[in-house]
Amino acid sequence: MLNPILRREVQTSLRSWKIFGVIAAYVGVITFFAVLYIKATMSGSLYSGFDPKDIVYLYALLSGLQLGLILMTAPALTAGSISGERERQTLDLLIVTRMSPFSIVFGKLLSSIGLILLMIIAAMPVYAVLFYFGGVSLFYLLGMTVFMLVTACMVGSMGIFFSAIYKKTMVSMVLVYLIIGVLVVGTLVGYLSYSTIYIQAYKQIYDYISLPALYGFFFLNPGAGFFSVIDAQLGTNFFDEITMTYWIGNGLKMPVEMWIVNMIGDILVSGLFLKLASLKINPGKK
Amino acid sequence: MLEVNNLVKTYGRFTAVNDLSFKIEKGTIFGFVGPNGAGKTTTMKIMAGLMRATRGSITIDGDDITKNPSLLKDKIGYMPDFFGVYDNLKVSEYMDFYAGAYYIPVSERAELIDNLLEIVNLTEKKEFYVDSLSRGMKQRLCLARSLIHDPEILILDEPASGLDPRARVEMKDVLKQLGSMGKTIIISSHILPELAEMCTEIGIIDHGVMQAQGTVLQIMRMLSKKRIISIKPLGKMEALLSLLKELPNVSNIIENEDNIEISFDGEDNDVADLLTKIIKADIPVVAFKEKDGDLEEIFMQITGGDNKNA
Ligand SMILES: Nc1ncnc2c1ncn2[C@@H]1O[C@H](COP(=O)(O)OP(=O)(O)O)[C@@H](O)[C@H]1O
Ligand SMILES: [Mg+2]
Repeated sequence: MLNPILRREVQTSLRSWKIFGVIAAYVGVITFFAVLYIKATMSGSLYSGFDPKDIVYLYALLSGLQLGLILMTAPALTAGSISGERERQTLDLLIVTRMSPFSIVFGKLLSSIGLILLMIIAAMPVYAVLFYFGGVSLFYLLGMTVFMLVTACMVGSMGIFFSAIYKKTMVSMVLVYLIIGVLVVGTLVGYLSYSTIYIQAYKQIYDYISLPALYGFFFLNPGAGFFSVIDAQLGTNFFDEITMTYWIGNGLKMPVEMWIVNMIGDILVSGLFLKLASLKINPGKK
Repeated sequence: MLEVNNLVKTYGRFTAVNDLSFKIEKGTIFGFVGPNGAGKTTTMKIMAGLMRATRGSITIDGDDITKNPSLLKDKIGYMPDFFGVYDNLKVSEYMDFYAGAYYIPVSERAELIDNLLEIVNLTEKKEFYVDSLSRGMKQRLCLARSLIHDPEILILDEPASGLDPRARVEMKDVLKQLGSMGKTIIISSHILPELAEMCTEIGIIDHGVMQAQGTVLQIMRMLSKKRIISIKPLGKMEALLSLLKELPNVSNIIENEDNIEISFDGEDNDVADLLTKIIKADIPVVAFKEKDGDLEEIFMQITGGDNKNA
């Protein structure tokens, strides 16, 4: 049976204009950048259409943009999920039902992920340009969508966890944004500092220490996962270039692709935070 | 049978429920009465599984529900003192949502919801948005919601508070009907007469302790053994107070502006003795009279009279 919370939230949110505003804004931003990019690349060559390489980069650009927007949206969608029920005085009514605390928080996660999926689907027509000119397949887009949803789960479950702790939605939101900042930028800075200090200094043991470091720093970094997906799909080398393994290593091959590790990490962390959130709202554990 | 055994709930150092014990037979409509802060809501939240007791147990037919949450959820329907509703949701969808949350099969829901809305007189409001309902209607809707899994025991925390007289009457009618359906109902209130006429049994709680329990009649009789006497001295309030505090058959001394009210345990000659003692203590008495023990008065006496601004 469909999670009752998911069902109710879909029902009520489709009745509010807010949701259409959010989706319109989302699609608007993506369309805007797509048009900007096409204008910029076309300005050089009259009527010549696109270089297939440009199409590939447009795909990367739009997907990256989507991921960025999702990282902004998911915390906002979840940070009030429990605190909102508490404030509205409906949380107790939920807790006394036969739904387990875990299915309550899971329903909250599903609702926000559902909304994000809706946004991604709404933005899909923009990608039609890519399919039209070739170079990118629908399967790429589906794969990327799965990756983005899993990332949204990780971020969203954090939002739900903090929402179970803090009364103020703003507090939870800021905390999740801070964590995202650390995961995206912090781990990169950490890795780059580490690699300049240790790996470059001891080139001979490079292979031994760089792999654990790469996995260790980036297993939850949505950016690392994203570029790994792009590289796997398009045959580019973004991930190697950003982490500088391309330059200092001798063709380092990762035994398991970053995006796989990344998605497994996301799922584990989602499970952990959902479990913690469910413990937090379970009166039997107080 | 529902049994609450030596229930204790402390908030930090403060004891809200203090070794509370009582039994409620199946089918009883139990009025749980006490002034604000007596510990009613705390007790009810523990019964509803929303809070853990510090100590003690609650059993239904011998099974401890504090240790068996799924049994608790099956057997108990709960309506909190304050609750909210969702925006953009119709009455029928509201009920359907909670039916889903109780995992009631989809095929059974339509009929069930119709029946419940019928019981609480909200059939015509079925397609209305929940947040557009009046307070009384929301209250009845929430009552219907608490019935959705057909619980044996209903726990209603101040269901009549904040309602206008008409909505109160409607709520009472619904509760009477539920009682006739054989449900065990526990209703709290800080106003005794409000419950007296529809409850089969009354328990009076104060400071987290059950002060008295019985049928409405039993309570009246038990309490009316105690006389309520009002004494108005000419000045000398302090002297009168300390004298009264010495006497063993005087309890619940309430100090009003110019008089003192006491509960007095004794026959007519004991009352006469009391007056003699006061006079002998050189306290001039302007008025000395026994008050009629109406329910509310009795209630105030038992609960120490701090109920006036409740
Ligand atoms: N969460 C809490 N923390 C501390 N004290 C509380 C809490 N909830 C209730 N109390 C106190 O416990 C006492 C009993 O409260 P309550 O059960 O709500 O009484 P009632 O419902 O009879 O008015 C009150 O003195 C109240 O201030
Ligand atoms: Mg209360």
